[in-house]
Amino acid sequence: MGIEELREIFKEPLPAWERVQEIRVRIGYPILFRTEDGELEMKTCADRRLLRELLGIFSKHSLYAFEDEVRQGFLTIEGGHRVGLVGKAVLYEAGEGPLGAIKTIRDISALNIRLSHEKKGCADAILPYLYNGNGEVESTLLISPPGAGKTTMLRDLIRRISNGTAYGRGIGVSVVDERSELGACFQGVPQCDLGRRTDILDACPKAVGMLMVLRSMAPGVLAVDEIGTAADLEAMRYVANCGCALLATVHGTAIGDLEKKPVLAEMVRDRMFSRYVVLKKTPHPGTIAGIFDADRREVYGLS
Amino acid sequence: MKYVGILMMAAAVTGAGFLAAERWRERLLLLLQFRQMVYYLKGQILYTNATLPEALYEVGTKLRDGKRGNRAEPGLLLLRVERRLREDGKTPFSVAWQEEVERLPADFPMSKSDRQILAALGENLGYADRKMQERTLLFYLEQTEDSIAFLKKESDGRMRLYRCMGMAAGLFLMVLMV
Repeated sequence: MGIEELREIFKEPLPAWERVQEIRVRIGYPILFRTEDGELEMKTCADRRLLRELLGIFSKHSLYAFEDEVRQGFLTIEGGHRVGLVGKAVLYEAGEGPLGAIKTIRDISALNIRLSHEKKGCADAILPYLYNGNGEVESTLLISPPGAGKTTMLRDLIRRISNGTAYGRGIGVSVVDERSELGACFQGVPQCDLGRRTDILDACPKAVGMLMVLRSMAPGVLAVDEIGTAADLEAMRYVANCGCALLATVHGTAIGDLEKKPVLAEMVRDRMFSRYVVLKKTPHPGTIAGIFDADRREVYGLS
Repeated sequence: MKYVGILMMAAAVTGAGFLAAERWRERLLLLLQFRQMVYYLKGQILYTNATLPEALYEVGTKLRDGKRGNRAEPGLLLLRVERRLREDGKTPFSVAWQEEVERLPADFPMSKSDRQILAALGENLGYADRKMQERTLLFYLEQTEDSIAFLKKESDGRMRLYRCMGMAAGLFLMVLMV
């Protein structure tokens, strides 16, 4: 989905596509565009009809195909954009499914459309720190708060490592793209450039997918977005023990945050990653706050 | 010359009988094809979790390839709906489906009730969850089974009747004119 299609939907002039980060649509309130510089309010007020229309367009009139995603409160649409949604949660009743778990979300009242951006070259500044002297890629964890550009950075990193850089030859990269955000696959074909040596397992749960691609595609590097569960940890441990480098992202604001989360703390203790890259939102998303080694010593600026 | 003309007229009337029989057979074949279409759609939606445009494209291409005339229409119908959804995402699926069913050729060998059942199929497709899609498709199959059973039961007799009537009318015309 591009700016022309959004312009068609909202029928109002939009800010430059590259500058839009989020579009907020709430019933009864004006549509808000969040850009790098701030917010822009549109004249159009969202109503239930607009929300229904948007959901129809985003899901291609097939909300049933996004059942599992809706249950988690978001859906990833063509182009890799993520649409978060809230409304009234419907829970499973006894005998119907896991008791207390969410069956679906109805009466959807607000959408948060987070636009995916492909910024080629945004990972260039961190590349020198991610290779060892033999041209091999160090296992790297990107840490940033939401909206600070870790997925965009990971995407560019995958592309650069796959194609080859001044620091090392091109390496086969396998991507387990659980939420279809990295490759933005449409009918199996990635819409984003992830490099010529990249294989993408789309819409597959990370923990299962990592083991699958490890066996089937024999990658040199394996990339996943937003890790955090115990199952992810187990799969990553297995991958790391097979001699495959890992590229992953996680929510956080500082290197110290990792130790506060049980699963991540274990990854740090196990020295699963030899590089930690912390990103921040200001002055712009993707700003490097620090790069650390396995012992969490700052290496940024030393190379 | 006169006899050649008579012979040609008799052949035309006989041919009309055969044509009517063929049309009956084509009606049955088309319904069987629509039934197959629904089985394919069911597989695409429930097994591969395809969205409607993806499912329509896959099944439409499969049904269209290698067929001509009316036999290609079920596949072409799906591809026309898919194209409309792709080009104009704002049109609800039910509206696009209904309009494309109405655009089937006027002489398309399908009864009015079968057309209505086909048009109704689009009303609930895409709505709610996967179970709802399954129920909608099964409901169409149930309704179509009745028509298929009727056509199968009647087809042999009717086709024979149309052919015989055509030949009898041709002979009668010949006798009358000679």
